[in-house]
Amino acid sequence: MKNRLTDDQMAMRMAKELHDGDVVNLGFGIPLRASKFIPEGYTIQFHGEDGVIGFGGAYTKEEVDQIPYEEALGTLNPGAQFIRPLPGMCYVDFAEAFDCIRNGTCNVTILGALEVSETGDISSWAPIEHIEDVTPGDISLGGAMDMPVGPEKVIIGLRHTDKKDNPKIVKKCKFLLSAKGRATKIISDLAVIDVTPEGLVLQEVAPGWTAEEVQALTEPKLIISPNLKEIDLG
Amino acid sequence: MNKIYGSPQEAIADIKDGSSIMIQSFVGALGIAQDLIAALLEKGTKDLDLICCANPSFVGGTTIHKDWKPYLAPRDLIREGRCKKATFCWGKSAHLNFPGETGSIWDGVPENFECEFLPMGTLAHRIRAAGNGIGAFYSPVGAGTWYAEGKESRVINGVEYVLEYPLTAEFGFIKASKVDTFGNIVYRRGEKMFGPLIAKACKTVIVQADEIVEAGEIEPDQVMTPGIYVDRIVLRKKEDK
Repeated sequence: MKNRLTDDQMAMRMAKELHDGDVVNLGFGIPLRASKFIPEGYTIQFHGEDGVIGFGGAYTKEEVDQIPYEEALGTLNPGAQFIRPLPGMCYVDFAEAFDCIRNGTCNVTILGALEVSETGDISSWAPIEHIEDVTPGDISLGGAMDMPVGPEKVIIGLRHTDKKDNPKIVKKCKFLLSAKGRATKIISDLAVIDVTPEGLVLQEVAPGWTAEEVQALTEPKLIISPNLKEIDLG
Repeated sequence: MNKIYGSPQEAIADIKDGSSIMIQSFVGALGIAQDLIAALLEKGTKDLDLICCANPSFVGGTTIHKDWKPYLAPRDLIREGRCKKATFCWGKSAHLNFPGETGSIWDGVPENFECEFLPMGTLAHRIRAAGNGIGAFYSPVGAGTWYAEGKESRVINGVEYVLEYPLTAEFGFIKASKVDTFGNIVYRRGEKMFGPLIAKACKTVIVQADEIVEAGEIEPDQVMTPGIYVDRIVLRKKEDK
């Protein structure tokens, strides 16, 4: 079987979407790892929906134990990890934290998703018919609905297929939508795809994979870019 | 004018069964007015209409610190069955238990307990709208999705929006590092959160302060929430973290 991109390789490819001066919100999981692959010399300010802008990486347990608990508590990322303050960092209230998203100041967001459709719909939750069965409170909206609304680049990072090889890039999302028509790019473990008004344009394939093989694992018809290339993992 | 209350019990004495209350919280113990929550639990007030962000969510990340310990949070009001309604944006049970805790915080809720889930930004902007005196506003968040079902939608300049109403409450709980006797607030780092929004949106605003200073000790241009919004100030108990 051919290799797909590892989590780190996906994160590495995501990082190539970030440019000096960008204000970026990274979703948890693989997108967050993209922060490890920022080219040297770039100043990228990470935005947290908890109102912290321009924060650094998470402390390890050994590091954070050196800081008094109450002091460390002041600086958390939205996942409640203790984070390294950086020069130039600032705090805003929650309304302003989401103003930055809504008005596009935060110009890039990279998010995980369960599915993404050919029109850029994003789904983040289990099917709606199951909602009736769950205990009150099982749906966690968090910032998932907010993040795709505003940034110029809304990049969805997800595995190309589920464990049974069913496509997660679909004609129409089966699962609960977090946003309609907001995705601009998809980075999977097999491909890089632009979401355009004409449809999904296959720009890059994982090393060793052909456009036909990627198409076979994708529900909607892909438009093959004339500049189709392999994902550069260098 | 005296805004300083001698105890959290006195500061919350007029919160009655059925009152609406907004509590600042998000991740970890940061910014939570634990003394006020403790006093409310002790008083036995029930049928509360609770509005908060998380209850809290993702406690896991902060537990790595050697001095971490369980703390009081809005979730305890739900767990103790004191709320008839909760409006928030995080609800997944997995996030609401501290390490080693079993059972669900939803086990003890009253039969007609009601939950309203909101996107986090919409929650913040709805609270802000209340503070701004706005009747309602059109938000693009969730437009065209299941969230918008039953809500009024409108297309403005080619973009679909959902009508959102302001969120207010009779009482608001804030925790802040430094407060002067006029109620002017300085938040330390991330504890700002909902504080400035709650202060403007709620009728009676109660602040638990780490430190109370004389009016004039905070530089006027360093004030983050003006004291005119703050009604009651309580000095925190020393043992709190």
